[in-house]
Amino acid sequence: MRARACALALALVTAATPSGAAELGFVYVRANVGGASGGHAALVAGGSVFHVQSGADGLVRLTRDGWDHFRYLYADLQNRPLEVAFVALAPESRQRVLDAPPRLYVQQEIALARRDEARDDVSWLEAWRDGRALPELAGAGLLAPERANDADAAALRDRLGAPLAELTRAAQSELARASTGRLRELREALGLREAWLALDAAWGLDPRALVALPPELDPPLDDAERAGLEARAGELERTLASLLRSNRADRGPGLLLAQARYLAVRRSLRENRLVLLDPFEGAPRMPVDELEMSASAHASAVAHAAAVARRVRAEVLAPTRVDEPGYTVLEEAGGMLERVASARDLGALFDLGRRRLPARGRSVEAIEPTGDRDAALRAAQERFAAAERALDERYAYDLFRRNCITELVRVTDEAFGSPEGTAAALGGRIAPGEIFGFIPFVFFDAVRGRLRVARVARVPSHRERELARIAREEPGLWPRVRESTTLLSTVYEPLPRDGAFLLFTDDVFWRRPLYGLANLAWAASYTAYGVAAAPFDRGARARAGLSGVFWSVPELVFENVRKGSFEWVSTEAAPP
Amino acid sequence: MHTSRALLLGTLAATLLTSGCQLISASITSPSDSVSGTGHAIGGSSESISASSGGKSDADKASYANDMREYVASFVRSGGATSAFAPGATRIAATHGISNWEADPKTAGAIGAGLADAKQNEVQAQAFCSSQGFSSDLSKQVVSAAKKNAS
Repeated sequence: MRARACALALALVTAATPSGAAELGFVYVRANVGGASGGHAALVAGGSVFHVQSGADGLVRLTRDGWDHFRYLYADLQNRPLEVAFVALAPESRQRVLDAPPRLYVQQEIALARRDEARDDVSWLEAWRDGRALPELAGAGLLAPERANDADAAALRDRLGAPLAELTRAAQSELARASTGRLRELREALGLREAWLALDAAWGLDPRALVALPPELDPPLDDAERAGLEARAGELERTLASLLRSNRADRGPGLLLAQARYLAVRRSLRENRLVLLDPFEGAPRMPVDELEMSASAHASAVAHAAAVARRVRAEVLAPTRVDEPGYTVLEEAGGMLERVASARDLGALFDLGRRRLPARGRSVEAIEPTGDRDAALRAAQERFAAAERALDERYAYDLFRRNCITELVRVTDEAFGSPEGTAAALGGRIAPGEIFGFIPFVFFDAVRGRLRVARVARVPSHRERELARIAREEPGLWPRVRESTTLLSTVYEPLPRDGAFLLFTDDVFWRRPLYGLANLAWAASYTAYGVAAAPFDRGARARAGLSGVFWSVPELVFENVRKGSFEWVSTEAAPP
Repeated sequence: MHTSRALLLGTLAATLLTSGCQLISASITSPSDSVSGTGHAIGGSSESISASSGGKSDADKASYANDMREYVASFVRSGGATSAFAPGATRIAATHGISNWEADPKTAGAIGAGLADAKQNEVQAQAFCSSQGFSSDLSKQVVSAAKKNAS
């Protein structure tokens, strides 16, 4: 049933259109408690979703997602129904809209890179000033100097036959010429020096850079996989040879990664089990303290993650397939499976909309470059502050002026160069900055009312789908009563982040104020209980109670925001 | 139309400044109740990886090339320092799981198209390749792609 619903949802989004026409979907994600409590919006076309989110750094970010991933996060886990208004437009107009998000993304990446470089300069200069270890160099922690003379690494070095001693001397000369005003170049030279040293001294893998899978999730390699890994090893040798010939000053981390991947592949073949670098090791993560799901849900999640990893493994290790992005996904699947199975470090798994290369860092020795350190530090701090200001001016989140809706409107509007161009292409126009235009449902009303909407599709939330299933399988009054309350529901398990509430109000209308009153009374009582329990739960229940009170208020005037959410929703997207 | 609903939700939204369209992201540095569910991490990452393993969709194939094309065009238009090009390209490529972008089959076409978008003629495209120290093979492919996209 669920597979059918997902297939239908996808079909709704990717459906073919009459000849010569194209469609662009405007997605409205309904409100719920938590992030994007007022709702959310996105553009969808060809299975890709573009939407704008804001992070705790206060900046809006353009996110590109697959439709399945987007639907799973919002319709399943966050339990929000989605509505998609498809606007009919010319194929070239659709392409102009789809070209706009990469432009915004790249411009933001350039600004972020400028900020990050200035921040790195400050960190390195401060480390020298304070006599601390230097910040970690990306990729240097994949290999371990103390594991020199590794047999596979030595064989690789001999086959490559590169003038490594000469290259190392060249990198050292570059380092000697470094100054406090050229710290990026210094870091690049350090990366190259580490890469040449690693090759020359045949450093082995650092065990901390590897994924550690439990044996039951780590089956032996089959013949096809062994052939695929042999092909991969050959490709990695070619990559190393290509990087040796390259003139790129920043290729140090790439060389270190290619060597580490080569050694992981060789070890896989020797041990007849898959050895992978961990792309999440050393990467930024969101703090997640503990697993917030039942043991049975966790078991389902592990089984699902294992099924996904098996499928990725079979696809990526096909002997004819040697593309690097695929191998990166395989490493991500391994890192994910390890974390899901062990229920540790789950915060590293957030936001996989973009790929992540293994880049475990290590602090390396470097002599402080010549130049006035204090002056260089002041200049770097000023560059950093200026880069932060520039980012704030262009990308700082503002509920009314720059949020997920306003940026989506801007991206769409700017794609056509003029208001007239927008109106001609979409059949109408939603101007940036309209009053109440920052509110998702107002925006969606405008889409439906003003643009050339050919059809509107609805993707039900997880609970809605489950209620429909129960209605079919268990007709009668009692199942409906049972599922209307959080205390008895077989679909929903109360979560602190949803706040305390007693009755669902998203599927009723005239009874909503009455239910809201009951929810208000329940949440108020729960708050009192929470206050008494505060010494034992650090106020968690009291906070849930207060949240429950707050989100009951709209229900008194017929509005529903709170719908409940889920920690885990089983998916049949992966094969069993 | 819907003014009362707009006022109501607008007020609610204004009250909850922290509940905007928050990012489900590793870049978040402080806890956020709204997105900290472990199910988001487990289920979201599984779905993302599952969808990406094939890398077969047109969108996946085009995504790297589009981003690199936009990067090149933006870089050239803004007159960025020569030495800053490669780190930016490396950063863009890494988000697509590519470390050795010079050797990726889609790179030359994307750089050439980006140069064409930035109105670079054949001589300028060649000069760009030389300034970046591209290999002769990559340079030829880039210049050819720039010419093709300019016409």
